[in-house]
Amino acid sequence: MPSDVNELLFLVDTAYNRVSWHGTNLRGSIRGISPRQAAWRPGRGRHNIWELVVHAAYWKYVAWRRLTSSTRGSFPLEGSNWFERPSNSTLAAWRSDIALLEQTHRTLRSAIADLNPRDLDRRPVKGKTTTRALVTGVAAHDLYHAGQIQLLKRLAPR
Amino acid sequence: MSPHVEAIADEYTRYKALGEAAIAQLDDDELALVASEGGNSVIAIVWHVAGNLESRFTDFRTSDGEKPWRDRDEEFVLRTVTKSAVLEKWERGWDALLGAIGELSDDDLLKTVTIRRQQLRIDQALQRSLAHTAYHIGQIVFLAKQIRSGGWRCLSIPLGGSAAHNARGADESAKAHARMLDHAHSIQPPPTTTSSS
Repeated sequence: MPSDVNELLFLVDTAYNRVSWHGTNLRGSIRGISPRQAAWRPGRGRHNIWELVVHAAYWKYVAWRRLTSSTRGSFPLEGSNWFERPSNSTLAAWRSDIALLEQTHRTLRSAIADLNPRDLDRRPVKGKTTTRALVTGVAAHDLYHAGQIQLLKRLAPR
Repeated sequence: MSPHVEAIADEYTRYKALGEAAIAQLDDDELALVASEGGNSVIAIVWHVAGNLESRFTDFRTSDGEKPWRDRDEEFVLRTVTKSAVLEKWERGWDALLGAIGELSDDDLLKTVTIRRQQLRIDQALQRSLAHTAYHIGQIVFLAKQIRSGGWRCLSIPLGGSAAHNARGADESAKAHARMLDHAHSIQPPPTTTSSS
């Protein structure tokens, strides 16, 4: 069967931080961004880069929960899906949220690496999709928002 | 459809529905707007995504995915066309893709195709294409929101609606998301209220 565990790892890595033909991935899209740029909104009620980063981290966490059927631990921030940012627009706060993204990616990646190839086309215990579909979806989600961050960077004042 | 092919097809369908739900909210003039100097309009991105899909997936198994008739640079030329022309172009690309995927079984995924004179496994070609498509559809949705501003109709969980969504145990599969977008698109009147997400 193609797209075994290594293929899934390749998929999430290239969407997140491994060089790939398709250009800028999620981690690459925020490289060198200042807290000011990250906090800039293109309009009232619109998400900024900072919120897209935390949103991506949250869904990596959700995917990890689904893959592992874990009942332990929780996302470090209160709430779900979208988190208003910044609560504190310092470089330290921005770096802390980037570190959260990194950590959730590493945790998810580790869970993918531990998958049994025979389980890839099965649904995790509480899952509504197969494991393979879940991982494919996380990779596409990273790139969906990477494309948006690239546009936000063009609009945000430097 | 075989499970692996189906997983990829469902994810494509999610992004197709997202793109269509965004395009549906713009009129002819808005489709041609750019958000910044030198930026792309929704039309340009549709031309690029559809041009890419049509080239890659026409005669997918038997010819190079970069067709001699494709002019990639021309896809980004600023143009003004009607929404029906945009949707016609869009569908041409997606028809080629979904037609090619519909003929695949999981056993085919280890076979190879040629893209730009390089051999590539079919599963890898599909994943690359999905990555490219998701990236640009994120941009279509962003631009459409930027243009519609206060009149935007939400395409995912509405702001403030996450708790209710989680409590419902809503189906977050790609297939369910695409169904929800198609349904909302078919029954809702033109947007008049403010929402954001």
